[in-house]
Amino acid sequence: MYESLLYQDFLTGSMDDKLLSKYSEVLSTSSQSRQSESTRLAALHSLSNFSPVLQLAFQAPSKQYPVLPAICALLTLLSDDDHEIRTLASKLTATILNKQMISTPMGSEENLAKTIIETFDYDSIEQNIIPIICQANIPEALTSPLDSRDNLFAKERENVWRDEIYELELYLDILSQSCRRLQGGEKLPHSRLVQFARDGVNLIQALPEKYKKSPVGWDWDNDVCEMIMKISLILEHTGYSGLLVC
Amino acid sequence: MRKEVKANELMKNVMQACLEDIRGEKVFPVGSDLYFERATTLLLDMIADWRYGPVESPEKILSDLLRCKNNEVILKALDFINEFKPEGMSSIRGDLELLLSSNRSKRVRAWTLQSLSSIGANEKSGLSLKYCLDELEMATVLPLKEAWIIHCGYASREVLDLCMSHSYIRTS
Repeated sequence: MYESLLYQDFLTGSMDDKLLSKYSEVLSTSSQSRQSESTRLAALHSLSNFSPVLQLAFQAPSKQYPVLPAICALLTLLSDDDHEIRTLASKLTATILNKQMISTPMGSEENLAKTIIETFDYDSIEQNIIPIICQANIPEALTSPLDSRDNLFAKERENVWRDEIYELELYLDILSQSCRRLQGGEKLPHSRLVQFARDGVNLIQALPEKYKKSPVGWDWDNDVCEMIMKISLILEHTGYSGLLVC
Repeated sequence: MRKEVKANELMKNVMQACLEDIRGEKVFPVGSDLYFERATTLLLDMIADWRYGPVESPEKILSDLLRCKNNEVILKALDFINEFKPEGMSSIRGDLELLLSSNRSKRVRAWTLQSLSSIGANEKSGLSLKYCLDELEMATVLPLKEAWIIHCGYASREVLDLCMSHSYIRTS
């Protein structure tokens, strides 16, 4: 009886749900590239310990377990800078997806993305994927490299392995494919995503006036080019691509 | 053949003496710590390859090592648990939990947490997710933080246990 009541609590989003959200936050923070390698590895081991729950979430999609943030952390770890972490993350992905063969990290990402679309509803996908897309700091990415043109050394990226454009395309693909599965047609793009893209466009439009040069070119910072591409991809996704005509 | 048997007997006697010294925490005028460390290494090697047959159960030996006051002895025992991930040793969980709540160094606590995850791959965690998250917030050094992050995943399985027991209640 007590356990049944506890399960009701879990389903109605009380005690366990809050704890799981807090745990997911821990995972999400610990799996970021800015964290040390040992912390990212700890996040992966933690996910590995948690994997029976993830496995259950994929086996019983109708129950809609609140584990998508943890799965998103795994998605981040699949494109980690460290080879060992990526390999272990691929193994873990194969385990939770119940696959006999371990794919490459990129293949695992695609498999995981496909299963996310099939398992979770659009609202929870939107709720978890959009904050990941919008976590990029556009003003910092667009302005700081251009402000410090007299740097002697190239800025070292936190993750040299991750293809940020590919990752963004994957996230946008999850959003659009999940939206297509919605009954009752298309859904309007999320206001936060639209706002993110609009802010980006405003900052891009301010760039040429300030520097009198095309912001996209071989002699420009990689982060700037990447951010411009990201914003244009988001605009394309949200259907506001006309905004980028400068 | 007889020589081999005698050698094995001698080794068993040495092990037994080491074990009793660690249990009794005998203090020698010089080199106690070094002796305990060597004795622990010897005992753990014996558990690892099981060449000389049982002196006492590995579970009991590990339990005694974990109760020792010498930090190095405890760390060696924890390292052994983390490396070999011995199965069916649920009785040392109590010793590990006791170690976790004791006023030991942060390094010992971090390794203890790792050991708790190592021995309990298929068992229920003794620590709740709430407790783990609270401890994670309070942890100030990276090894301890990381150990709590790892153990959080293990403690999160309580959600699964809850679901399983609910399915059981519904079906029974």
